[in-house]
Amino acid sequence: MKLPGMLLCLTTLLACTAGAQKVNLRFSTWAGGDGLALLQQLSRDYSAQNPEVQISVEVTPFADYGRKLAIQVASGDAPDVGWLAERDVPTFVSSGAVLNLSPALGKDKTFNLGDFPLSTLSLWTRGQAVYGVPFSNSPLVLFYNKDLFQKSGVKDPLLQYSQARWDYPSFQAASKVIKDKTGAFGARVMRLDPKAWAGGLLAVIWSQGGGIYDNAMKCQLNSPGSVSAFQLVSTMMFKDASMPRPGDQTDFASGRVGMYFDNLSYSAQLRDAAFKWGVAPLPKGTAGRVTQLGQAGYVVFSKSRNQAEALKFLKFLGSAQTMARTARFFPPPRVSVLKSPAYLGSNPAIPASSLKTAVAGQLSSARVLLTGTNWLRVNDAITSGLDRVFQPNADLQPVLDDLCKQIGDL
Amino acid sequence: MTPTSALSRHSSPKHGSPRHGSPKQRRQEAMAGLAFILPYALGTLVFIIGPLVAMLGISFTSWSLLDTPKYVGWANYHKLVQDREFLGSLGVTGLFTLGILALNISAALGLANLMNLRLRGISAFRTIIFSPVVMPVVAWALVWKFLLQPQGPVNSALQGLGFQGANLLFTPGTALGTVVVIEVIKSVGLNAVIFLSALQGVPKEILEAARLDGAGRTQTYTRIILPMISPTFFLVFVITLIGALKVFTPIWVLTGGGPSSATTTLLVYMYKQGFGFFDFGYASVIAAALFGLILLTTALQWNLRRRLVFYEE
Repeated sequence: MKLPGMLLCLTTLLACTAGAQKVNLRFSTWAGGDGLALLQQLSRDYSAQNPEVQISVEVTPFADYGRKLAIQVASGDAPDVGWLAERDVPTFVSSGAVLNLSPALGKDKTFNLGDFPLSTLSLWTRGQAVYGVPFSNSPLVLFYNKDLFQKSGVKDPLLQYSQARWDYPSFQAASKVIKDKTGAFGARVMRLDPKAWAGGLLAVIWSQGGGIYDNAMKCQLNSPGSVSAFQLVSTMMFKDASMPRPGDQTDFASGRVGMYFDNLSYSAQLRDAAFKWGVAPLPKGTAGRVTQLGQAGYVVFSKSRNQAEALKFLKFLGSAQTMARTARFFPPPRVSVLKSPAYLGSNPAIPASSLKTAVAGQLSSARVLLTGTNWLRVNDAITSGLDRVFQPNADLQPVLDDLCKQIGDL
Repeated sequence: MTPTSALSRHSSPKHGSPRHGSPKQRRQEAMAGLAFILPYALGTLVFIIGPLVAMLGISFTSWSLLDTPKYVGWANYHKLVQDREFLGSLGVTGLFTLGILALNISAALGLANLMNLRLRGISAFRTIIFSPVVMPVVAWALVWKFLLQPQGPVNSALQGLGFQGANLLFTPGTALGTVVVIEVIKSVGLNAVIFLSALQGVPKEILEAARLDGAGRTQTYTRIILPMISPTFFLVFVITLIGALKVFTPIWVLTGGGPSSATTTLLVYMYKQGFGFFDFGYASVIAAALFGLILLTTALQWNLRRRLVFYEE
């Protein structure tokens, strides 16, 4: 009787020891569709290489992402590793919620932080400290519905681009013809979530010579360039009726919108689209063809209980090999991956030539939206102000003057 | 015999009140009583009183959730007094609450009178009126958001009727009224049922007596029925008022506080400060102001109750 008892104790002890060595890492993301499936596959691959580590992928929709992370951090339930969106970087870095990665990454030759151009790291760097590794350096592109273009007899945007005719007047004209001939909306530049107005509209404003701030961080939303951009969008909404008004829920994936501005990762949501689509560069404005560079990165949370393992997992995610795999959805910040022929042929839904023209070809004129720590309040004021801008017969200049005054007061 | 007299007779010494048991028995009774209220008391302590005290404590700090709270004294309260947006949201809350009170109570009373008629198909009518009450609030708001899209069915119909450019939910002038109507359609069924039960509780003999005394329909309604149901009226008024001050979900889903802050009530403003801008100290001050407002209105109502409500002796 004694021997079986001892064996039982020994087995339990061994099982407990094995259990104690197992690390469960929580990885937070807002990915969906094929992008999420890829992240789950990467997590399984990492666990296969490191059997002592289990990764659980936690998904929160983008609209609630920053909020949920903050609550998790405050309640001591922070994930170990996660994505962080551009809009949340200033707040999370200034409050010390994310770990300084430079001691771990700076000297690691295999990781090679030098493969990231300094411009791609500027959002994540404070002095010598690096708080995140961008995995996506994605310019806005134009998604277009090839079926609607064909039905309405409008020339393909890529063809117009190759003929140097792809500008905002052509964009507006194409949108109106699609509306008149098919009844579908010709174009949508803003996302469904009104707070995410900048992803799309800002590129139009920049291309007309306007902006949110000038170099001295003074409001520029009432400058002549900004006003002309708002006028263009307003005309398309209310006069041409070719653009959905704020509050309209018609999205590009429904097949009822001819053109749409979004980051390349949006292609992951078009897997089951019942129409043919393509990507092209944004139109050219009076101040050039300026697109917005969206960034998102991997971070390790300061309150992670498994920081060493979390750092190792982050290195795996940010490595050139993994980035080559995620590049299919997220344009890679690593130069070595961006320039590789494998990258350009990585997404079967988008031809290499389109990817080269719409993404790689636009990076030189792309801009990152640089904001301060009060961006959340400024964005709320602008979102609220746009409700007055996008009204039929709105007198834009006084409304935008007032908006700039409000932003100045913040 | 009134319920009160029945109770006093039952607890008279003749019938052996527990007060006259042995000390041990009394202790056991007290313990049993405490055990019965313990779950509720603990729940109130942990989920209501605890957060309330914490909220008051946080209101004296600057805290972004991501960092540790820093004591800032009365700074958040000073900011509140000078905050024009807070005053704006107070105004929106006042209009929203008045709108809900007026529309909900009058519609509920009207519907209760209709439901009180003995007509064919009245059960189906009652079911239709009550069914929105049991619908999940987010689903309800999303359906309305779809119906009220700028070129959706409701606005298109209004444009067809000659209201050029009608865009109810996204025009600052009409958004608040639209949200009030949507909220009233959702919740009016409950008040209507409460009024219906009160109407059905009015004794037939009194109505008969009034008729014999020569009272007309209007007189019977205003002089007999309304005073008879005034306790119910008061109850409906109180729960509708407090409910209106606490409405958040449909507003957040339908408009997010827009357009141009036209539907930013105190609760929406508080949520934006806390979860939108991560300023939990200031959000707690707004919560404290809202708490004070509800406390004040409730106290006022209880004082007015004796003067306005008729209780049958």
